[in-house]
Amino acid sequence: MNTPILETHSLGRDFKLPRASVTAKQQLRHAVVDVNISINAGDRLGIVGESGSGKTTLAKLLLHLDQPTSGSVNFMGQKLQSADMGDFRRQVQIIFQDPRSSLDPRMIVEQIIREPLECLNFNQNHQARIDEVMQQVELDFVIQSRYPHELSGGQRQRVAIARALAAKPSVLVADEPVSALDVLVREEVLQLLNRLIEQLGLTLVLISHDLSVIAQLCDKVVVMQNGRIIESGATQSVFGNPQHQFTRQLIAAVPQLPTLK
Amino acid sequence: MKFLEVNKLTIKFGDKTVVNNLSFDLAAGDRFGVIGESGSGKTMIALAIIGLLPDSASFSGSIRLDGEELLSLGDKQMSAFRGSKVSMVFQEPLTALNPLMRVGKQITQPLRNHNRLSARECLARAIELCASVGLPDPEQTVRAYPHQLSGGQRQRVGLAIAIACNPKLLIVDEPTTALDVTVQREVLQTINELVKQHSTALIFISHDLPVVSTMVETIAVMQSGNCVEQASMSALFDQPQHEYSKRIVDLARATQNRFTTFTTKATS
Repeated sequence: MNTPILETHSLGRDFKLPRASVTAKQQLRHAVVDVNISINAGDRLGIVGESGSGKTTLAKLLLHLDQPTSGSVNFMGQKLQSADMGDFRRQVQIIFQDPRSSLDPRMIVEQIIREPLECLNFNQNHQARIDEVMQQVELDFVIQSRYPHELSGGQRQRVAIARALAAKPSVLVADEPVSALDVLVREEVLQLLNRLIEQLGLTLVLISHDLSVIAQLCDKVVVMQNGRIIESGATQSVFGNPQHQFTRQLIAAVPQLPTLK
Repeated sequence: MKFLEVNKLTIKFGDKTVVNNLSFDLAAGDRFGVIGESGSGKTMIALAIIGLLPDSASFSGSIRLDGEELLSLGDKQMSAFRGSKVSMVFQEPLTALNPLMRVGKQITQPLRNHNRLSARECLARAIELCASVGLPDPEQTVRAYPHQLSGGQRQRVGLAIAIACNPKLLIVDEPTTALDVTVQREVLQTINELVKQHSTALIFISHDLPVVSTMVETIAVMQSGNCVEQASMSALFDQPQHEYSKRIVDLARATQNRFTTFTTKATS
């Protein structure tokens, strides 16, 4: 319990920018700078910031989909290494922003959800697991034989959630999971995520630019600006008593209903 | 005298009705919102008014702008209207702008079409417009290409193009969906100021109730092509009539409450 499930030590990621000319000095963009976070089992961590602030890069580093240029990511106290990723991939799964582009258009729903089970050598009956996970995300069984383009936006994102949950992960990383959805569907999917995290005892890392989504799902939050974490803490204290100027701006920018009583 | 009168507008693609029997009118300076899910026909209303419906669409009813019937106008006559009387800001500025043309030239394109200005006058006006929509360093910005600007700046360029000829009616279609919350607030403020300053009528299309509610006085709620409710903003919040309106109002309230329980604790 004392070892954090995911932990970063002065994590950094620089991207090389295109050279202005052949003789020009190589310029770097510091996408993530000196990030230290530790995520314990059962945490619900929100990452907020403007576009370009390094949220998604940080998520990719946490998922080992990208290599840091400095610092390290530890999983259960072990430094992540490319050699043996099997257990890590089984434990940590992601939901991407836009299910239109994250679901393979040439696979039917059943194949999409089956893929992680096969890749990760899931050791139970695959079809039974597919049925089970589809029930968990409240999808009708008839859509198993459909292609992503035949589904509504909400159904597509549920398929993406089902795929992420298929191999029974303990950590779920969600990168703007509802920003492509209509308001009412967004609410349904958020409530579904909330329920699933509670039922399955998942650890959540949620990336969003929408503070109300974070307020709904997360108990801890880190605020990023220009690749750095400028503020972190319990959601309640960060939103209730923001210390940093930028956090205050973010909170003030949330549209207010004019006639709220 | 109503400035814009939409009467029993129906738009169909083959057998599929995307806008069904819609009527509303606006006086000069009115601010009108259209809200609905994706696929509810919001954008089609805008395209019908500005005369950009795809050829495959069939339509009936009437749209009268300043006494002129728009739906019966030919392409050439409609071009004369577009930009000078009515113009539109599109959702995604990166696809709405020409990537190969400096933004200054794009901003003055409607001016050259409508007012025959000289090159020097155009440049001066482009710089003036850039300044009025709050773009930083207007003299430099007019020489930039769209990819060199940030998302918020691109949307401001879209806005500058739309207001170049002082239209009487401005239609904005989800202008801030692609933008960050902080940038969204600034762009909305700019639109608000411009519309009030020139008493332009505004049609604001969005799926986001909190955003629309800060921008308009009356609102039409669309659901799968039907306008299910038309009301003033305060009436919609006090007594939403239709089931769908109730759900979006309740959800907006719940979201706001959820958020303000955090933020007000500090102040109390």
